[in-house]
Amino acid sequence: MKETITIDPITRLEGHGRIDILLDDAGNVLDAYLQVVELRGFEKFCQGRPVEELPRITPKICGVCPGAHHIASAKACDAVYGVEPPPAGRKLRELFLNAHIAHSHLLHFFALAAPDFLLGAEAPAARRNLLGLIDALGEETGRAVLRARGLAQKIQAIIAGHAIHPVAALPGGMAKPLCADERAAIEEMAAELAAFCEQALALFETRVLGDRTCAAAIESDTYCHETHYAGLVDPAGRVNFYDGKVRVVAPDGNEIALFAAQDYLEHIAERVVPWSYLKIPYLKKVGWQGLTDGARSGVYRVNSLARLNVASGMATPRAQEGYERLFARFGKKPVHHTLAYHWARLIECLFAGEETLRLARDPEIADARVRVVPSGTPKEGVGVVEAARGTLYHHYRTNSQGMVEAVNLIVATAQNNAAMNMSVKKAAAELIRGGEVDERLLNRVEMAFRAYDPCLACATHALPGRMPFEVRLYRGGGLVRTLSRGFSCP
Amino acid sequence: MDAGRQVWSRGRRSVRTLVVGIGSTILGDDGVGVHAARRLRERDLPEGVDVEEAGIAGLGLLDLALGYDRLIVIDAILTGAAPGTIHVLEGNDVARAAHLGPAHEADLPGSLDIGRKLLGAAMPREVLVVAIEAADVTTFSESMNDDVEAAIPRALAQVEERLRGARDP
Repeated sequence: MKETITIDPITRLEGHGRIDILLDDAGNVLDAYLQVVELRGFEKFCQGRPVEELPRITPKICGVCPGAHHIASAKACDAVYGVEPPPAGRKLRELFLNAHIAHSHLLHFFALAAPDFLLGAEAPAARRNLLGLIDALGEETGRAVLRARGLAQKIQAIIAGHAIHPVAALPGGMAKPLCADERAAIEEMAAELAAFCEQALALFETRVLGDRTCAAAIESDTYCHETHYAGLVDPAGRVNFYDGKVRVVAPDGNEIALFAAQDYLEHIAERVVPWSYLKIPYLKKVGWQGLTDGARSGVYRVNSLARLNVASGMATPRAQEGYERLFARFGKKPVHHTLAYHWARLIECLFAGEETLRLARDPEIADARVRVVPSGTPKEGVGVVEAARGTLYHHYRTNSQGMVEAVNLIVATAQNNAAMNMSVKKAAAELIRGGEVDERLLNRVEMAFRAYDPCLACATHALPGRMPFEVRLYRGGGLVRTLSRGFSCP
Repeated sequence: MDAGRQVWSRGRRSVRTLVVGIGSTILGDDGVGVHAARRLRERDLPEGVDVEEAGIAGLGLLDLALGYDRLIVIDAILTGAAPGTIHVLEGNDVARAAHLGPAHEADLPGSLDIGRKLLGAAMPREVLVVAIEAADVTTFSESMNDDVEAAIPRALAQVEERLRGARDP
C-alpha cells in the first residue's frame, strides 16, 4: 500500500504548485513530483496582434518577473524587424534589467531564503518568515531591506514608466531618453542600492556560511546534483543578464555549447511528461534520459549558480571578489550544491547593483537617441535575456505586416523543472524515513526547490485562492491524515 | 536630492483612501479587480479617494499604500462559490483573495504588518478586500466570464458604500 504526502500549495513562492511524495509500505520515499497548473492559450492570444504590442503584453504573464519579459520581448521584436537599438537605448534596457534583478534577488533572499538559514530550517513556521527575520536581525535591517527594494523599483519606474507595467522598451530601442535630472537621481539611488547589495552578501558570508549547521546543509549531498548548466555570457565569458551567447557546460565544467539566441532550437528540446503540465526543456544533443543527473543526461540547470558555473567571472570588481570566494570555498567548478544558489544569487545581486551604478554613471546613457525606428520587413526573431530565475527565451514569427503568427516562450522555471523534481525527490528520500513526517522536515524538503526561486506564475500562474495551511497524507488513495501547516508567509 | 525621500514620498497627506484593483487583464477573470478599479476611476468619487492598479500584492503594495489611512483592495477569488459571488473580507481573511495570499514575498496582512512595524503610522489602519468569485483564471483572454463581469457593479457598490460611509479615522 502506498502513502502519498501532498504539500499543496507550495508555500513562499509565486504561483500554485504542489508536491506529491509517494511512500512505500515502510514509509520510505518511492517518488516525488512537483505539480503545477497549466496556463492555456498564450499563442492563440497573441496571434493576429501587432508584434510591437508584445513587450507590453508579456509582462502581464507574471507579476513577479514583468521586467525580464518586457526586455526579452523587446529584444525579440528587434530581431523580428532586424534592428539594433542605439547605444543609449541598449544601456537603458540594461540598467532597467539590472535594477529588476537586484530587486528580485534581494526579495528572494530576505523574504524567502534567509528565514530558513538565519532562523533555522526547523524554527516554528509561524516565525520562519520575513517578520521573524526582522525580529532576529533588527528593525534597522528590515527598514534597509524595504528601502533597497524600493530604490530598485523606483529606478525601473523612472526608466520604463512603471516597475510592474513597464512600457518603455520598443522594437529598436526605448520610447524615451533619460533626462539629466533622472540620470542623477538614478545614480544616487544606485549607489545606495549597490552598497546594500554588498551588505547582503556580507551578511550571507558571515551569518550563513559562518554557521556550522547552515554551512553543512549547503555542502551536504542531500542538496546536490551533478548536472549541466546554461546561462548568458558576454564576449569575455562573464555573466551578463542582457545579452551575449548562451554557454552550456557539462557536469565536469567543460563547455559543450556556445550559441546565439536564434539557434536555441538546435540546442534545446522540450519533453512532455505525463505527470506535469509544465514541459521539461533538456539539452537536445545530450539527449533525454529521464529525471537523472550526470554527463549523459540532458537535464540542465539555469538561475544564479548556473550562471556563475558557466561564466569565467563577473564584470564588476566586488562581485568578482564574491565569485572567487564562492569557488575557492568549494574548491571546484562547477559547484553542484543546490543551496549554493542562494550564495550565487547574492553575488549576482551585488553585480546587478554595481552594474546599475556603472550604467547610471555612463554619460552616454542620457543621450537623446534611444531608438532606431524599424523600417525592414518583419519576419521572425528570438530575444533572450537572463531573468532573475534563469535564461528566458522569446521567439516570435510574424507576417509581412508585423502581425503575430507564432509565439514560443521558454521560461526559466520550466528549464529548472527537471532539476527541481530531482532535488525534491532526493531531499525527500534522504530526510523522510519510516514514514516519519512533520512540518519541520517538510520544510527541509521544500528548501530543495526554494533554492531555485521558482516562479510558477511565469510557467503557470498564481491562484492560491484558498487557505494553504495543510499537508494532506493519503494512503491507498484515501485521505488518512491532515497536518496543519504553520504558514510561512507572515 | 534625497533619493530615499523620493522613494517614500508617494503618500499624499490630503488623500485618505486608496482603492487598488489587482490581477492580470490578459488572464480572463484574473483581471476582474483591475477592470473594476478602472470603472471606479470613471465615477464621481468622494474627496480623498485614489484608485490604482497592481499585478500582485506583496511588499510592492506598501509602495502604493504608504501614507493612506485606509486600503480597499478589489481582487478575484476562488472558493468554489458561483462565479460572480461577492466576498467582503476583513482582518486576516483578506489573504484568501487570489493575489493577496502567499505571493512571492509576503501576503497582504504580512506586508502590512511589516509596514506598520517598520514604517509606523504611515500604513493604512483599515484594510478591506472586495473579492469577486472567478470562473477561469488560467486561459489567456481579455474578456471575462459573463457572471463575473456582471458582478463588477455589485462589487463597486460595496466599495462605494464603504467610501461614502467612512468616518474620518
